[in-house]
Amino acid sequence: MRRVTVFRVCITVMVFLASCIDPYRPGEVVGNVNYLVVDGFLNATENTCLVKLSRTIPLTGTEQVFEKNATVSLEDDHAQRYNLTELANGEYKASGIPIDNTRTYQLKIVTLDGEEYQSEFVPILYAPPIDSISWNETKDGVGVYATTHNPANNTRYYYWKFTETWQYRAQYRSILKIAGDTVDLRDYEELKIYECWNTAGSNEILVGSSDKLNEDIISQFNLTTIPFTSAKLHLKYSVLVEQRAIDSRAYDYWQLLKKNTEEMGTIFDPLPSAAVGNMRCVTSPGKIVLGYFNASTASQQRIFIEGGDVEFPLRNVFVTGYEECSERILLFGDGFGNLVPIVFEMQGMQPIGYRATTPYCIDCRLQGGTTVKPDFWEDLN
Amino acid sequence: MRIAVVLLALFTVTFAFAQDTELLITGNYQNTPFKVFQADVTQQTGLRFYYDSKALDSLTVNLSADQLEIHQALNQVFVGTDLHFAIDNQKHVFIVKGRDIQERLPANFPGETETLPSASSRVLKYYTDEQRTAEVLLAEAAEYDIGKKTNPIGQGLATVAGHVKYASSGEPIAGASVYIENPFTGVATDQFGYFALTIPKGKHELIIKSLGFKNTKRKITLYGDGKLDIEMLEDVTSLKELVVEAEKDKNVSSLQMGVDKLDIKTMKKVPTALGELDIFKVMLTLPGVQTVGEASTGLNVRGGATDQNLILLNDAVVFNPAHLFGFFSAFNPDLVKNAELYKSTIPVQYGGRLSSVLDVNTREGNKKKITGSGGIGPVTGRLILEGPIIKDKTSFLIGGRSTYSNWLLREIPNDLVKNSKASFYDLNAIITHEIDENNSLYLTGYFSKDKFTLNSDTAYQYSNKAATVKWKHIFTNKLYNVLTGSFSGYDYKVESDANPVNAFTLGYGLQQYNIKTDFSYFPHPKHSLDFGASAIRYAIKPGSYVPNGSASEVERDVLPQEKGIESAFYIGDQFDVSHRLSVYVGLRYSLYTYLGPHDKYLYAAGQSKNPEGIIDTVSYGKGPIVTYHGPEYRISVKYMLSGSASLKLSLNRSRQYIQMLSNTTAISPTDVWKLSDSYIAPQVGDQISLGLYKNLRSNTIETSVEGYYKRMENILDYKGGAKIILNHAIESDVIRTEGKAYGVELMVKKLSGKINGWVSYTYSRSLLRTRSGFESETVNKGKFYPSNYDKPHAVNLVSNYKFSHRVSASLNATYSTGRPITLPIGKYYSDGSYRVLYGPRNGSRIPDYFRIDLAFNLEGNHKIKKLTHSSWTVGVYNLTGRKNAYSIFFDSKNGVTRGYKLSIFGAPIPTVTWNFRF
Repeated sequence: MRRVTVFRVCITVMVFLASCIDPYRPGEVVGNVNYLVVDGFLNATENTCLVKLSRTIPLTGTEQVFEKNATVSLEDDHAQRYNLTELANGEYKASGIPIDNTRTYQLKIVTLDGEEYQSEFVPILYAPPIDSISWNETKDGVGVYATTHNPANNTRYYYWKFTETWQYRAQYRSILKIAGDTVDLRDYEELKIYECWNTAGSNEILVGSSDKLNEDIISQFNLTTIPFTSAKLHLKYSVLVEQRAIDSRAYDYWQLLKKNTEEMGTIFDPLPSAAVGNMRCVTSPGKIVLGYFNASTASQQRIFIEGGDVEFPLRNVFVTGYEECSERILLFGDGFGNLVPIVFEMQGMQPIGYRATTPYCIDCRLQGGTTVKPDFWEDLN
Repeated sequence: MRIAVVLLALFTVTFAFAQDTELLITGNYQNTPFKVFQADVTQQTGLRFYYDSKALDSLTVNLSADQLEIHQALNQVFVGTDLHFAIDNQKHVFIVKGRDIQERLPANFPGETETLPSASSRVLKYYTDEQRTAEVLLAEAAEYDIGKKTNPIGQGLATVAGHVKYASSGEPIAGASVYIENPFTGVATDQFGYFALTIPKGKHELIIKSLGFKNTKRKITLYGDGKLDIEMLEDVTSLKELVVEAEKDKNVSSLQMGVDKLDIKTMKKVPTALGELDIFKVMLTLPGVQTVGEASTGLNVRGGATDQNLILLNDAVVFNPAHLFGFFSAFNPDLVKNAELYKSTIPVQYGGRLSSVLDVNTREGNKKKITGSGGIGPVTGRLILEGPIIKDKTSFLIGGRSTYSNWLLREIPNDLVKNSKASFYDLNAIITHEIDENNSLYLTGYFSKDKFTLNSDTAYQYSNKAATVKWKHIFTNKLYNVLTGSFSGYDYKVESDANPVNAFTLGYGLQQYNIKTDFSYFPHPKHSLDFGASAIRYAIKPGSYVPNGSASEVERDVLPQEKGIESAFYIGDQFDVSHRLSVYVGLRYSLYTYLGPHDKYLYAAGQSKNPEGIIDTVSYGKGPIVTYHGPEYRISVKYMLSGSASLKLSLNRSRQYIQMLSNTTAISPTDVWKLSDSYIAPQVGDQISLGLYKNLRSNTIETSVEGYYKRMENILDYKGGAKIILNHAIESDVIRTEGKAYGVELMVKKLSGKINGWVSYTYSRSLLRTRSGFESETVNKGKFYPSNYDKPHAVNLVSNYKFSHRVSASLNATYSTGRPITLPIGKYYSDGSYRVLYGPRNGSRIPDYFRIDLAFNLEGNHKIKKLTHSSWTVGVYNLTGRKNAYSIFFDSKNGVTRGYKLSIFGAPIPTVTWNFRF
C-alpha cells in the first residue's frame, strides 16, 4: 500500500514560502551507544547463510565497527546446528546447508564480550520468481521496476535488493605512459584503463506488499530511479535484482525503519521510534540488539539498459565527474609535473610534444571502477 | 407581558413646549467658534447641545442677537450649511448633518403603547451616521417607563430585558455590559445581544458599554418587568484600539477565569504570514496556548493535546480547522464576529473535550442595508455580501473564500512540484430571522473543501461541513431558551491511479448530529441559572480502501461503521453571595454509549494486545455495547479584594469520548477521529486554577497571574510503527497514557491609548507517562516524559501604535523554548546505508523559537458617504528572518546520513493585503 501520511513534496512547495532545510548537528552527542547490529539471511535457494555483525557507532562516527571473533551458528527446531565461519568485515557464512522447508531456523550469536544473542525461530518463506524487471522514462529519470506474482497467494510481503553495474569511460583515451624517464606506448592491457565497470548496491530499504490486493501481485514496484544526467546511463547499465520473501512483521519492521530513516523532514513527520527486530539478548534481557534475521528462497533477474535505447530529454548533460578535465599541450622537453601524456601533439606529420592531462582524467579506475569486464556483461551493440 | 414606554423626548411634544416658553439669547458673535457660541448659549438658556464635534469643528458663528428666539438664532447660524437642529422639552438641542430631522418625524406618536422595543428603530428611520447619532442621543435623553405604570412605584425588584444592537446594522452585540451604578448591579449580553437585569424598582440610569462602541445610557423608571432594546453607535475612533475584553474591568469583576475573548478588530491587528487574519495564529499569542510549529493549526492549550479542544463555529463542531497543510485556518475572517477561548473553567453548557473550548461566532447580516466586503491577499481572496431580506427582521450573510495558490505551485522551478496542485475554498451562509420580539431563528451553514495533488499521482481532498439551526425563545424576562440543532461532518479521500493495478481510493467520514436545549434563568438578582441538556449522535466510517478503476486489483477493505451517542444534562448557578464574593457551581453529567453492530476482538490475557494475540471475536448486534458516564463539575469562586483586584479559584472536570488518532507531530490530513469503545476508555481531565487580577489606572491596565495544575487520564499514545489508517485492531496499537500539566501565566494588558497591547510570560510543563506492564506499551521506561508541545518558557508581545486615525503599526514578538524531539543517539549500518538509532522519546529539544512581525494598517479616509471603503495591510512576518526550526530530522540518502533543520518561514515574508467593503 502506498503510504498516505508522508507529504515529502510539501517541503518543496514551501520552498516558495521561504522554507529551507539546513544541515544541522545536535549540540551534544548523547550517550555512548554500543549495541550489536545483526543482518542475517538464510538463503534457501543457495543453501547459504550469511550474517553481518557490526556495532552502533556515535552519530559523528565515520568508520563501521565490525563485530569480530563472534561465534555464530544456525540451529533448526530439531536442534540441528550449523556453524558459520568468519570472513572479513564482520561477515560470517555457512554454505551447503540442507534446507528443510518444514523446519524453522534460529540464529545464535555469542559475542566476544560473552553476551549471547538469538533470533526467533523463522520459517523458510517462498519467494516466487521475478516476472520481470522493467524500466521506463519518467520525468525524474529512468525508473526501474519489479513485477512478480505468486499464484498461491501466500508470499504477500517482499524484500528486494539490487546490485547495479555500469560501464563508463575516462575522459581521454591515453595511449602513452611515462615509464621511468621516458614516454612509451601503452601495451594492450594498459590501454584498458580507459574503460571501467563500477558497481554499487541498493542503499534504500525496498519492501513491498500485496496485502491490500485481491491477488498476490506486485506490479511495477519502483526499485530505483536513475536521473537522466547520471553517468550510469551514458553507455550501458545493468542491474541484478534479488527478490526475497518476508513475513508481515518483518515488513512492518522495514517499513518503520524506512520511515524513520529515509522519509523524515516533512511537515507531518511521524514520531520516530525504534524499529524492533526479531533478535534478542539472552544473557542480558532488555539489552538492545538491532537488526533482523530472515529466511527465504531468493530469485534473481538481471537486465541491461543501453544509453542508446533511452529517450533522454533535450540537452541532457551527463554528470560524469570529468567536468574539470582539460588537455594541456606540453612541448618536448617540458616537464610533465603531475600531468600524464594522452597522445602526441602533431604539427603536420611531425610530433612536437604531448597532449597531457591529470591521471584522473585518463584512468577510469580512479573513479572506483574496475577494468575487468564482469562475466555477465554483454557488450554494447 | 405588558410593556409601556413613554417617550417624552418626542418632537410632537417638544415643539409645543419649546414654542410655548421662548428661550431668548443675546450676544454679538464675530467669527466665534461654534463651541464658544454654544457654551455661551448654554449659560444663557440652560440648553444642552448634542452634536458630533467633528461635523462642527470648522463652523464659526457670525451673529448679532438681542433677545433673539433660539430657533431663529440657530437658523441664522446654520444658514448655508446642511446642519439641522431640533430642541426637545428637556432643553436638549440636537444638531445633525444631512437630512432635516423634522421632516422624518411621524405625524402622531402615541404617548403610550403596549410595546415599543426600540425607541429609535421604530420611530425614526435615519440612515446616515449623523442621524443615527441623533437617534441614540435622543434615546439617551429620553425616559423610558418599564413595566405597567403604577403610582406610587412599587417595592421590590423587577427585570428589564432586551437586546443590545448595532445602531447601524441591527446586529446584536455580544458581551456588552449593562449595569446600574447604585446599587452596583450588572450583566453582560449573551451571544444574541440579550440581557436581563434584575434591579430594584424605581428610577435608574442604565449604563451600557461594549468594546468598540460609544458608551451609552438609558434613563428608565422601572415599574415592573419589561423590555428595552438598546442600540449602540460604533466608536469610529476606537476602531484602531486594541481591545481585548468586552468590559474593561471584566477580568477582575467577572467570575470566569482563563477566558480570552478576542473580537475581530483586535485580531485584525496581529500580523500574519500569508496576509490573512487567522484566528488560530492570534490565539497563539495568548498565554497558555502553544503549537508544535508554524505549519500547524493545532492548538495545545495548557498542556493539552490538539484533539482536546472543542472548536465550535456557531455551535457546530469543526473537526479539521485547517486549510492548505495548516497554513490557513478554516474560518473566513470577514465573517467572524468574535472568538472566545475557555482554558480553565469550561462553562457548564459545553462538554466533550478536556482542554478548552474555542467558540467562534460569526456575525449576523446587516438588517438595514445591503453591504459587502472582501479582501485580496497573496494566496487567498474573499468576498462577503450581507443585507436585509425583510428590513429589521431578517438578514442574510454569505461569504466565500478561495485560494489561487495553484499558480504559486506552478511557479516553482522544480519538475517535481510542477504537477502538484493545492487549493481550498470555504463557504458560509447565515440567515437570521426575528419572528417576533420573543422568537428568533438563526440558520448557519459552513462548507469547506481542500484538494491537493502531490506530484500528480496521489490526490487528497478533505471537507468540513457544519450547519446549525437555532431557535431562541424568550418565555419571560427572566427565562429564555435556545434550542439548537446542528450537524457536523468531516471526510477525506485519497486517490491514486498512477499504477492501474494498485489504484485505490482511501476514504474516511465522520458525521455528528447534535441537539441541545439551553435555558437561561434569572430568578433573582443574585442568581443566574443555566440549565439544559444535549445529545450527540456520532456515526463514523473509520476507513475504506477500495479499488479505483477496473484494472485495479485492490481488495476492498472497509472498516465497519462506528456509532455512539453522547448525552449530557447540566445545571449551573452563579450566586453573588455578597458584593465581594461570587460563586459559580455547575454540574454536568455526561453519558456515552458505544453502539453496535460491532465485532469485538478478544485478546489473550497476560500479553500486550497484538493482532496475533486475538483469541476470539464477539459479535454484537445493534444496541449498546459499552456505556461510560460520569459527572463533570465546574466550580468557580471569585473574591473581590478591592474595587480593582480580585482572587479567583476554579475547579474543572471534563470527559472526552472521541479522540483523534495521530502519530505525527503536527495534525495531518489523514488523521482520524475515533470513538471511545470497549478498549479505549474516555479521557478524563481535571484542572484546578488560581488567579489574581488587578487593574491599574482606572482599568486601563490589566494585570493577572494565573496558575493551574492539570491531570489527564486515558489519553492515547502509540506503539512504535502504529498504523492509524485502516487498522482493524487499533486497540492493539495504542498505549494508554496519563498526563499532567502545570504552569503559571502572567499577563499585562493595556487596553487604550496611542500605544496598547499585551505582554505575557508563561511557564508551563506538559508531561506524559505510560502505565503498562508490557515493554512494547512503555515509553521511556514508564517515566514521565515531555509531550510534543511542552515548551516551558514562552513570552508574547502584541502591541499596536496608533499614529493617526488612519495609520497604525503593530509589532508582535514571540519567544518560546523549542519543542521536544527525539534525537538519535547513534547510528548503524543496514541496507546499504547508515541508519540512525533514536534515543529516549522527546529527550532533546529543537532550538528556541523567536520571531518578530511588523505590520502597518492604512485605512482609507473616514468619509462615511464614500461608495467603497478600503484598507491596506502591509506587513513583514518574521522580520529578522530567523530560521526557526520546525523540526530537526535525520535522513539516509544515497548512503549518507545527515542531520537537517527544517524551517518553514526561514526568511522575512512580506505581505500586502487589500480589504474593501461597500
